[in-house]
Amino acid sequence: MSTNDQANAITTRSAPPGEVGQVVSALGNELKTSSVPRRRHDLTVHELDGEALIFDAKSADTHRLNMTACFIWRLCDGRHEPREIAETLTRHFDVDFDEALEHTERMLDEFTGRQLLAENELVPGAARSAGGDPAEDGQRGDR
Amino acid sequence: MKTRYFQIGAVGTSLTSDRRDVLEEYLGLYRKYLVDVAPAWRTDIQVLRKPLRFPHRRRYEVIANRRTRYEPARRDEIYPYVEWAINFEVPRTMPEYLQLHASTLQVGDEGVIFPGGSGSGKSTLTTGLVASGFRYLCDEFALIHADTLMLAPFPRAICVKKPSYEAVESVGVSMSGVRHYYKGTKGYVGYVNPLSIRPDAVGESCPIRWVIFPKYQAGEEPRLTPISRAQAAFDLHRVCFNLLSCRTIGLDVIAGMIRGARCFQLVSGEIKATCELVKDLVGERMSLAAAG
Repeated sequence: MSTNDQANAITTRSAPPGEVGQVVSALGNELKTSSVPRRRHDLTVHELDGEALIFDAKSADTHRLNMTACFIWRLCDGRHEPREIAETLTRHFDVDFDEALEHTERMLDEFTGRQLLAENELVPGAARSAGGDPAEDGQRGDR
Repeated sequence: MKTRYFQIGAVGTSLTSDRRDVLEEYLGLYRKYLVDVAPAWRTDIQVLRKPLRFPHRRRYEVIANRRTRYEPARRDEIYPYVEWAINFEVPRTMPEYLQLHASTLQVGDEGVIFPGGSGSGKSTLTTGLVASGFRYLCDEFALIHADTLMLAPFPRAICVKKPSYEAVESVGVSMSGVRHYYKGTKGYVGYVNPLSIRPDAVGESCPIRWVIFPKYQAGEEPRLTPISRAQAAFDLHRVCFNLLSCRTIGLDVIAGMIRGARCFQLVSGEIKATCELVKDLVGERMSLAAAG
């Protein structure tokens, strides 16, 4: 996980003004990273060779996630706390736990800022449900 | 007043004018695509002379689908505005296609697209590659069918800016018999009929296998850099004319199409060297096409 990798983890582009069919009002900054982050279910997600393109029809924004961001995104399934995501990162990338946790938290902030996560919703007891490595559970986007 | 109908690849048009020379000029480039019956889906263009009682006003009107789009003052502005009017209407009238700002070519049975905005050098590169054996689909749009993901031809005349004449002539395409037009901020341009380069120059519908983003940099050594499909898809959606008005979600079309493509950034410099570099990249397909 290089510095460059982290800096360019997410790229976003808003639709040009004439292209936006229905722009809903921004949800504001009330969204907070839940303790068990969960992806919004209404996004169009395409995974391409380990990276992802996400289209948000509400805002008409398109986001590109690089491999690391995409990896974390996949784990935002309402079952994994940030610490568990970081632990999984350490198993797949050459990174120690502290660095992985810092990166995970930064990514979750980014996802929240870009309104890619479901509204704050604690899911008590949901974490630690499945065991194993959720990054390898075959989830390939939300479509 | 006379009307002529054309089916230029996937794009149907009609041209109506009270000026015979305007119709003749259009026929000069598109006679091959003349049809007797009006295409069901088409853009209707009218070119009319404005009454002389308003001498201080612009002298012509270019009307697209019954709306006045342009009022050129000069005779040599009319044709570029006709092309622009068609370009403007295509995204509105053909929602079954995703439309990207790109030039498109065919090699073998595979499609190559060169996405990029004005000034990226795509028309000059396109002309050079057609002269090198590629088949021409369009110099302005990639028309991608939303259901089949096939690249459709729209073989309009290739618009070459005057500063690029020398480069185009260096690859054997003569600009001496080409009429020059004034195209606003782009300055003077000439329109090259691809069939004048080679009688078999125009290609047909094909799947996209190569996505190459050109960027012209004068004096640079041409070079290709592979990029990820996600980056290419993200960059493609930035040059999409109808991301939200396409029948299908535009990003779905791009993602579906890009899965079967190899993606590169191209720094283009001297035209011959750049064409050779691109030919080397897709060389196997060129050989197959020649053998076929």
